[in-house]
Amino acid sequence: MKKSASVLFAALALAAFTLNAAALELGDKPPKTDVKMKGTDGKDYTIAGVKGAKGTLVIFSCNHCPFVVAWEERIAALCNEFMKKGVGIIQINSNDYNRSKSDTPELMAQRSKERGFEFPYVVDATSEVARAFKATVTPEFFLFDADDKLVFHGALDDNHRNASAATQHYLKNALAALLKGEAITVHRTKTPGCTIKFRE
Amino acid sequence: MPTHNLHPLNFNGIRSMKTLPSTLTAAAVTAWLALGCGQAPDDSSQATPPSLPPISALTAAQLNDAVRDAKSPAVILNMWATWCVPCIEELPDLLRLHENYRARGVKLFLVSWDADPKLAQKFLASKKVDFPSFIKDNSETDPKFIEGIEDKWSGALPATFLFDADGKLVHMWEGKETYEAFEKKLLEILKPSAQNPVQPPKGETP
Repeated sequence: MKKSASVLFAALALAAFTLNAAALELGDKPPKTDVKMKGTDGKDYTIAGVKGAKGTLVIFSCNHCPFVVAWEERIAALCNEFMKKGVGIIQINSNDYNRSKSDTPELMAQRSKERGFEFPYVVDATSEVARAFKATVTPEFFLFDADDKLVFHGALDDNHRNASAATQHYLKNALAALLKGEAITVHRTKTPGCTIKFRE
Repeated sequence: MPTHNLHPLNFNGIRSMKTLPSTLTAAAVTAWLALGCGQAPDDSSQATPPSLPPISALTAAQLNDAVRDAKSPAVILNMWATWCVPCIEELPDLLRLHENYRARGVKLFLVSWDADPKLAQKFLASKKVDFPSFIKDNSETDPKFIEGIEDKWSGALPATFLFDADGKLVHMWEGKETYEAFEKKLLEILKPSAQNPVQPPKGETP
């Protein structure tokens, strides 16, 4: 009895600490690749549809999060650069804009224009894509190689406040290595950010 | 029982601890807490007008030391920022929880992610916070800080961690939570005794 109780306790404790664990492991394929998501340009996009010859970057982001705002110029510059080099990129907003008023499609379109995103910024209308990825925060980056295998999951760099003070450029290094066919040295990082406001 | 092995730094047995640089600050924080939180540590860079609650910039290792050294039946550690809407929304619940259980020794460690400590202090003063709080030491990168607190924490704000009397992490919440959710877990670790039956305070629901 005692033993079974302790096993149960251990299982519950483990469950408590695994709820937020990333579901996608290195090598996993992206889920929900055929879900149509409306872009700020009015067109429908899917993850499969934006797949690049060199790989695909799926970004969970939003308008309101201060972490996103702090990183956004860097996100735009890096992603615009690597999209031209053959990486397919899609930036997904899974927040319920009834709970997060600055995440409406109209304000997303405005933000996209202001930041000069050259990649689709789309609405995950049911939050099902974020749920399938087990994404938890914004911004959060999932990079897949040309064979659709996850090769990086994490943050852009190690300093959201100050670009010039960043010492580890996780995403840039991963993208650069992917394009060169070299080994990615950092596959997984912490993701400082705002919780995704999932639709009920 | 030595608490070192149960320290959250060793929870997963994978993290290292830079004890020496943090020892003095952690000791100062401990002394400060033991004194009933009436005075700020001797840190002129963090000196504040008397009307503002004191705040200390700590690294993850220093925070973990402060939790371990709190000698409290439970420590609730909450990561927040003035610009984080869900953090601000859940703060009243955390403050009410602390108010209801502080007489039983429960401590609330609020750790701000603001760039400017004054912003956090002014906000906390407006919420009538009268106990010391903390701010993330920005000499430590965000990922290192997050890893240093808890390996399972993605880095999302808000995040709340519940430690027991041994300084062992017993629960973690990512995202906004409710008074009831926090209290349920807190009551599970507050040890009952004849003098101190573990029940919610009057007027509170279990």
